[in-house]
Amino acid sequence: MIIKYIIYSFLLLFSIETIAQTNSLSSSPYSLYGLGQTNEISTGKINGLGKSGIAMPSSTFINNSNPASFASIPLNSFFYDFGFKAETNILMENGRQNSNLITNFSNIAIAFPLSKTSGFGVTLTPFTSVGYTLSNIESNIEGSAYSFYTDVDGGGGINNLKLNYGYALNNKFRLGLTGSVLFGKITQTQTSTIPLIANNTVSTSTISLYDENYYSGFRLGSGLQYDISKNMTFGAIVNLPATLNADNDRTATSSTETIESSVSISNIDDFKLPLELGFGFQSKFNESFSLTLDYKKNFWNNTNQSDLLGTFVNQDFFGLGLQYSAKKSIPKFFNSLEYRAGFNYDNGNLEVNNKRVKNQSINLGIGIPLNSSSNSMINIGYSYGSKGQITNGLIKENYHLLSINLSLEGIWFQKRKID
Amino acid sequence: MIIKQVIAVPLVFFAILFLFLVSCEEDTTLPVGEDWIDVSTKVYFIDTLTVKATTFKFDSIVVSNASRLLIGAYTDPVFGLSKSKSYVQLYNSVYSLDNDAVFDSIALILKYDNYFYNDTIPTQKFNIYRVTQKIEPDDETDAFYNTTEFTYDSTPLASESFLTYPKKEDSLHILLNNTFGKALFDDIKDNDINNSEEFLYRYKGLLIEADHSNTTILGFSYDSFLRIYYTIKDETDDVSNEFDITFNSSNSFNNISSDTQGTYFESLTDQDVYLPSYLTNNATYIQAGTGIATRIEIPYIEKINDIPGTGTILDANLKISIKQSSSTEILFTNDDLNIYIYNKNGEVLGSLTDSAGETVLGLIENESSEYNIITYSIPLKYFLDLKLSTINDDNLFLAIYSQNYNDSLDRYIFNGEKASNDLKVKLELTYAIYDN
Repeated sequence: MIIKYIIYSFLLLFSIETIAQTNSLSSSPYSLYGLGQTNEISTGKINGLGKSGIAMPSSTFINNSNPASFASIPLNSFFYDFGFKAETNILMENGRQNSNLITNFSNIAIAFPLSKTSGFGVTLTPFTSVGYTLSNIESNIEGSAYSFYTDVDGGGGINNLKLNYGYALNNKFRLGLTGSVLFGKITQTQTSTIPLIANNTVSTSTISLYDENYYSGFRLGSGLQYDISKNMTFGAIVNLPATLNADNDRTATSSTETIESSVSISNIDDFKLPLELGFGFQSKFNESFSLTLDYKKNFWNNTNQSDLLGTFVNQDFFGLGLQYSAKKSIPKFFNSLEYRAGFNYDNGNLEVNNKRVKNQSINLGIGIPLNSSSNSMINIGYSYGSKGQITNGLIKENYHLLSINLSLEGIWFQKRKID
Repeated sequence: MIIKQVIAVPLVFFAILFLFLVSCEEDTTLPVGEDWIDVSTKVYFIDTLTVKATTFKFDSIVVSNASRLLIGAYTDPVFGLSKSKSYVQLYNSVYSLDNDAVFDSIALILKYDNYFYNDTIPTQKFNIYRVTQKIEPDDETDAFYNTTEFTYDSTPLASESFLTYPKKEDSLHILLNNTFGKALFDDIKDNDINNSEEFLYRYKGLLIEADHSNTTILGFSYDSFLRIYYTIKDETDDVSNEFDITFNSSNSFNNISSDTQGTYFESLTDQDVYLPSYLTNNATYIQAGTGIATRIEIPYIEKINDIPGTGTILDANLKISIKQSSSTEILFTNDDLNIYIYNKNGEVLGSLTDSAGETVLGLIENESSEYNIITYSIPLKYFLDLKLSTINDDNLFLAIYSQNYNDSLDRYIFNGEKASNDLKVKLELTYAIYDN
C-alpha cells in the first residue's frame, strides 16, 4: 500500500513540477527584483496564522516551516497538502492605479512517518515567482528626436522541492534536516517598437529579446523543536547560504530580418541566497487557544548583491498567530471548526533610494474538518496586506490573498476494531 | 478506510489537475514601475557615416531593347554637346508593286513618341544617310552598345531643316532623295527584290542623325516607316498609292554620345576614373545614354561595429538631392532612379534589392517646388548588410543611374558630400543594439 501511495504522490509531484515552472504566479512589479517575489504561502494552517509555524508540530498537518516537526507525524498517518491561491493586487504610484487577479497552485506536499520517532516529507512550493507587464517604456533613439517604445513581460519562477526529515530524540526534543532543490526559469520578453522614417512614411520595426534565465541550486537546512512543557514549544531553524547557478539564453528576433536566432550568453550572475535563522514559540492555553510566534532573519547583506532597482539588505520577519478551536467533546459542526487570526510583518530585503519595501499583512483563517475520524481539513486563509509605499518612486501594492489548503490525512495499518 | 483512500487519492489528483487547467492569470497592462527596468535594446540614429560620392563613366552601355528611337542634339551647359543618332534597319513582309505603277517620291515618316529634351522651339535639322554595312549586334554579346557604329554613305539622302511640334503633331515627314527612291521602287517593281533577304542585301538601313547645331533631343516610335508614293495610271484617272517599308526594331538602336571637351567629364576616358564631387562643383552627375553615372561608396560602414554590443541595421537610407535649379521643365528629372551594385572591376553585379530580393529604386522623398528641392531616398539596408558580411567589402559600390538609359539623355546633377547639411548626400542609419 505504501508503495502505491508513494507512486501516486510522486506522479502528482512531477506532473505539477512541469506546470509549476511555466506558470507565473505573481503579478507584481516588485517581482522584477532578484528572482521574483518570495512565495509566502505555506502549507496547512500556517497561512491563517501570520505564517508562523517554526514551533508547531506536524501532528495534524504538514508543517513545512521546520523539518523537526516531521518527527511528530503520527505513526499510521499519511498527510497530503494541496494548496491553491487567488490573489488580487492593487498597484499605486503617484495617482496611477492598476489591479490584477491571479489564481494558481501554491503547494503540493506529502509526509509520512518512517518510524515512531521519525518522519519524512516532500514539499513542492514556488520559492519565488515572477509576473509583470510593463508597457510603452519610452527610450530615446540616440542621435534623433524620436523615441521608441518597449513592452516588457516577465514570468516564471523558482520552484522549491524540499525534502524534510525529522527525528525525535525523545518525546520532548525533535531534530530535523532539510534539503531544498531549487530550480526554475525566469523569463523576460522585451519587445521594442522602433519607428523608421523613410520616403515620408513611418513604418515600424520591432526587436524582441526573449531571455530565459535558468537557475538551479541546492540548499541545506536544519531545525529543532523542544517542548518546554506540555503546552509550550520552542523551535529554531537554520537555512544555510546557497548559490543558485544561473544560465542565460537570449533569443533576439527582428521584424526586418532574422537576426541570430539564439545568442547564448552567460553573463548573468549566479544568485546567492543568504543564511536564514529563525526562532519560533508556541503556547497553548485554556485548552482551546494556541498562540504562535516566529522571528526570522535573512542575512542578505553578506550576499553583496544588488539589482538595478536597489540593494539587498538584511531582512527581519515577524509572524504572530492565534488559533481557537472549541472543545471537541461537543459534537456540533461549528465547534469542530478552527478559527485563526494572524499578523506578519517583514521589513523587506530590498532597499530602493534608502527606503525599504516593507510587507505586512493581517490574516484570518478557518479550518473545516472533512470528517471526524481523521485530521483531514480544508484550511482557508485570507490575507490583506501591503508592500512598498508611494513615496520615493516606489510603488505601493495592496493585495487580497485567498488561500485554500486541502490538508488530508490517510490512516494506515489501523486495526479495525470489529475484526 | 484503505479502499476509500485508494479511490480518494486519484480523485484528488484529478481535481487538482482540473484546477490547474482552469487556473488563470488575468493580467492587465501595468502603467506603473516603468522606471525600474533597463531596456536592453538601444537604438541609434546615425547620419554621420562617411559617404563618398564620385562621378564616373561606363565605357559603354547596352542599348538593345530601347523603347524608342532617340534622335537629336543639344549643347548642355554642364555636359557639353550631347547627341543621339539612330541606326535603323528596314524590312517588310511584301515586296511587290503593280507593273503599271509609276514612282512619285519617297519619304521617311518618323512618329513622335512624346519624349523630348531641351528646347524644341528653334529650327532643327536631320541628316539621313544610307548605311553600307549590315546592321547586326555584337557577335559575342549579341547586343548593341551606345558606342556601336556602322559605315554609311557620306552623301545624305536628305538634309532636312524643320520646326518640330512633338506634342501637337504625330509625325515628322522627311522627303528623301528621289534617285534613291526610284532605284528602290524599281528593284521591287522589277522583282529584283522579292524577299527580305534580297532587300537587306541591297538596302542595309538608314542612319538618322541630328545636326550639331540642334537644340533638342526627340523621341520617335518604332512604328515609323519609309513610304514610297506612286501612281497607277488608269485609262480614265490616275490613282495615287503608297508602299510602306517598316522598321525592324530588333536591329535598330541609338548611338548616344557627348562631346566632353571642356567639361568636367573630359578626363573620364576610362571607367576606372572617378571624379570626386569636390572637384566638380560639389556635385555628382548622371547622363543617361552616355554612361555618366554617380558612384556611392560607404567606405567605413564597419565602424558601426565600434558601438559596443551586438547589433543589427534596422533601416538605412541614402539621401541624395538634386542640385537646386538644375532640374527644369525641359531638362527634367524623373521620379525614380535605378541603383546597381557593382564591384571594383566595374562589373555590375545586379540591381540593388531589399532583403527579400525585390529590386528597389531611389524614390523621391521630398519635393518642394517652392524651394526647388528634390531629394531621393535609396534603401541601403540590404547593401550595407551585404557589405558587412562580405570579406572584401570595400569591393562593393553603388552606381546611381537614370532610368531609360538606353533611349534618353536625361541628366541629373546631385549635391555632393560637401553641400550644405540639409542638402548634402548622406546616409541615415537606424541601428539597434540588442545584446551588450
